[in-house]
Amino acid sequence: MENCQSHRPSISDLPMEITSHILKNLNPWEFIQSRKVCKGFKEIVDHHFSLQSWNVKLNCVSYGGTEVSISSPSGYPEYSYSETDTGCDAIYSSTDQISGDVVKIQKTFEGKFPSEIGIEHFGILARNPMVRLNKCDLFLDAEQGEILFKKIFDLMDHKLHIEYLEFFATLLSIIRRVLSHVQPGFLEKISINGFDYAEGEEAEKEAKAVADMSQWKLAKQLWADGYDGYFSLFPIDNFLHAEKFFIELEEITVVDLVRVKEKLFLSPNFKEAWIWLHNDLTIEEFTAGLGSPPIKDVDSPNCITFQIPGTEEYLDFKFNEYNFFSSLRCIEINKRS
Amino acid sequence: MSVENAPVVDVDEAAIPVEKKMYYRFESNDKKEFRVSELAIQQSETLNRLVEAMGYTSEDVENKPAIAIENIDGKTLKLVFQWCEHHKGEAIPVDDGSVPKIVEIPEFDAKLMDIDNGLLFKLIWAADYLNIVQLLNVSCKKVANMAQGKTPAQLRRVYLLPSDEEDEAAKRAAQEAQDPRAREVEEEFEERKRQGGNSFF
Repeated sequence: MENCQSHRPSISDLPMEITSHILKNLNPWEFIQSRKVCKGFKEIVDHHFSLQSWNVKLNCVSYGGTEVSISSPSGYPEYSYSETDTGCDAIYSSTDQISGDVVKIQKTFEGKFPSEIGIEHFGILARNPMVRLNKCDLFLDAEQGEILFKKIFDLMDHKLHIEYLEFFATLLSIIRRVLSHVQPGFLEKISINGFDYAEGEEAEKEAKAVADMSQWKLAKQLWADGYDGYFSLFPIDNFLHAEKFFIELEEITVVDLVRVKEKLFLSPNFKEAWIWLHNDLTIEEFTAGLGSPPIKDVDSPNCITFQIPGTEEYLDFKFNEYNFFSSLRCIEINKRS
Repeated sequence: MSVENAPVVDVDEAAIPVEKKMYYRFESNDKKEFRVSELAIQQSETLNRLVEAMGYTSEDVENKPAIAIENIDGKTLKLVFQWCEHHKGEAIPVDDGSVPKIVEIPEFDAKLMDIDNGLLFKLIWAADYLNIVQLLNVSCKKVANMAQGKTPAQLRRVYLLPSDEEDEAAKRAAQEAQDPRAREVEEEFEERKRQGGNSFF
């Protein structure tokens, strides 16, 4: 570097900060693409993406429109990829530092699917061990799931740092494989919104395998929303170690409910939970079943409270009944002191 | 501040702004000498600090040897000082950290930078070394503009980056001294190049 003036200088003679300064003048897609030019450029681009955490949405199903977005948790900057009739529309949005106005830069990738470009972009983040993902939303069918594994996850030798991972209508086998690439303990929240059904024994085996993973066991929040289906595949006992959980069950027996109560008494982390049910449990059965001695709250007759043995802490059980298209119950549980 | 005139005129100077007429002498590493106005020097944080620290009088400027700038050749330094003279008195911009950067290249600068890439990289290097913020901005912008619509392979040629073979040879030589982390980056890059034949990024 000292003597760059003595021979025919090239861009690689410039200090890294200057090269970085040059590359930041490129439009967002040229900037990303420049990592293919040389190792030094690659390091600059990768470093840039590791300076902040990202939210990633991969909405990649072979039927219907695919959409991918990679954004700062604050919303800007955002890279979004959506489907057009002839290819993929990419939009980069950021805010002007001085005026605060949103600036958009658009590029069209003809003949490419948003999933192709988006998964490539996601791959750049995922393969970089320094990158932290704040939230990752995955809506993947089996085919797109395979692409994700083949192009990204199976090539990684580190685990992804994701704080909050949310799945939409995704096969349990894909959920399990994705989880195996995520750093246990760093992953705080797992949310499963319905899943592509694989009925029977196979599905139960997958559910058990998921619940046995350290990624599941070390998560502080577990959300399993069945939408039309139920999460009876996951025994409720697999949720009780979490600080917060949300589960939709086909039914819960009074015996199970008593066991839940007693396990929650012993759970040091527990804060709150919502258990949704589709059976015709009545409030009388519910209160009688939970056993005594509860403390009744006169102001809200649907709520009963238990003192946690040997402590000054209490568990509130609130029973709510809804009648939409079918009867639905929700047991809301809160720990308080 | 000039002390050529008797100190008694200092009062008048405060009342009527006069352009500072002091010119400093600089010498490039190939012994070319340049005279640069005090105001133009202010565009360079490095040189400005240097001359402030030296505290030369007008007589010193004439009598003492020219200030040597040992890392920069005459051809490059000429461009640097032409730029500084043209933009003297202008405010020095502050980097707001935004990406992509929004930089306009004025006509004068565009003409000045109508040079081969090798010299342009020297100019950038000099702008960084002398800490001339706006010259660095426009010269970096000019280099970035060359990338528009180019493939990575074309860019390697534009940016005078070594070909893969040359790079390979240099890498092998350097590899022994490399730490394992650097080698990993290297290998991943190679791996990606092999796999990513048809990928975009």
